[in-house]
Amino acid sequence: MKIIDAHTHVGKGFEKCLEPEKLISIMDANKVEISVICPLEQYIAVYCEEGNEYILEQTKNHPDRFIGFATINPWYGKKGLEILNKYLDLGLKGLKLNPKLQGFRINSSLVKPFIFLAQSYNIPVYFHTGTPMSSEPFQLRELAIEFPRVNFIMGHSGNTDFWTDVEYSVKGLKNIYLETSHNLGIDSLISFAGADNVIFGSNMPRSHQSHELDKIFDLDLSGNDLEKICHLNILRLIGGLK
Amino acid sequence: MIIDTHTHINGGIYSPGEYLSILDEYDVSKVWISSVEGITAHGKYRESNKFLYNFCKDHEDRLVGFCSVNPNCGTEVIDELKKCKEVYGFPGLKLHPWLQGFPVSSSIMDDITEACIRNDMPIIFHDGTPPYSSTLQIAGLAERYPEAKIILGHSGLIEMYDDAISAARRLKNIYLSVCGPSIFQLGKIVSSVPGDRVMFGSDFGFSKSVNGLKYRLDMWKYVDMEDSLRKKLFYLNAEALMGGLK
Repeated sequence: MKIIDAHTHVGKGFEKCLEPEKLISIMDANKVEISVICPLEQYIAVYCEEGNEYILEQTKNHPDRFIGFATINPWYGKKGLEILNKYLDLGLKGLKLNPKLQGFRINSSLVKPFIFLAQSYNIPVYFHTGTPMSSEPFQLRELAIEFPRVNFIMGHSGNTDFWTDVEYSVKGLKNIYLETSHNLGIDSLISFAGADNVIFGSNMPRSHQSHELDKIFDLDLSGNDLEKICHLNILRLIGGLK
Repeated sequence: MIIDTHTHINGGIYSPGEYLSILDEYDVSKVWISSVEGITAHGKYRESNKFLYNFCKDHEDRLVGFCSVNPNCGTEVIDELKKCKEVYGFPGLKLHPWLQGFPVSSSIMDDITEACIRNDMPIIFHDGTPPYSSTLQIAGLAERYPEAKIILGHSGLIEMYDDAISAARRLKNIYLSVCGPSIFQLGKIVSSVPGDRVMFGSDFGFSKSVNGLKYRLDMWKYVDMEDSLRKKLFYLNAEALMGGLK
């Protein structure tokens, strides 16, 4: 079965580090064909342009193994929109935002121009969730209702402490996708959103790809559901492979 | 050998026999166990403690009970603590300020902590969750009561693990049940804090559909550490903490 890891970070971060070649060797060991890569730490918080440039370069070095997501700190405002525009034009396939690192609330007006831009490019928007005040599942619901044409990925599905909120935060919505990293209640995620709206992600290097995959394979899922979670859903969001 | 310092039993989801057979499957020889109802069914902590006593009683060598009381019930809980130690033989107390709905800095915690010092009972706290269970709120209690043995039940979870590192480095009466941070963070924790105060925990038993035991045991395969530290983490430190009690 084809496996795509929908969420990893590469580069040299402030604390964490993962060389792209190392990630590829881990992917080989786990039979993961493609990973979605994003910048790390300070390249999410402040040095977004450098981070995006690095990610773009890695996708060019390994076009069959990496799909790149851009990031932008919405506090860059108009300049930030220009940066994001540039990297989406150059071929990055999604937008990753981390309100905790970037200092805003998911549903604040600050981020909405960036969501409009994502909508115009028809790309998915991945939000870190699980941190109180800034990154809560119900805040993502507000944004998803306001932008029904944008597909949002709920990173870590509210892990650790928002497990009781996930079900109601996706209720009636088809444009939120639940990402599995760190989260232990995968059965519940599938029952809340359906297998069409659950996406495997490892969040390397904070977690480990094989550990996060074991957790999925330990479940007694049908082949059909596994295919959706492990590659079909993310492929649909990014408009397939070129 | 493995001692799991953070497990639960949630009502009747497992019989003691079923519970033990799952522990056997993962080579876990002993667990520190508390009742989920004890931290959620607020007025019924006495019933929950009795339930936990009955659950553990024929298997005390493997199921080490941690009682709970609801601090919102006031000083009546002090008698129950004494009973838990002397009658039920529970060596420690479990508190969950977030789910039980009380601030750790409330004055009843002074009474409870003093009683735990008198009874020589360590307190394991849920931590890592604002606004009542932030890691440093709990460390603050440990700082005010250096004689109390305070266990951070999650070592800060994912969001506050570095607060758990600060707390354990600064305060000698802070013990970490390392249960909830990510693989990367586990590595940082064990390389940053004194090696005699880290203990394995899984949160097993909260729900039947979630096997935290396998997930949290497997995480340690990805963490580089000396064999001697691994032994401390998996059982020596837990044994030492329990063995040091009167």
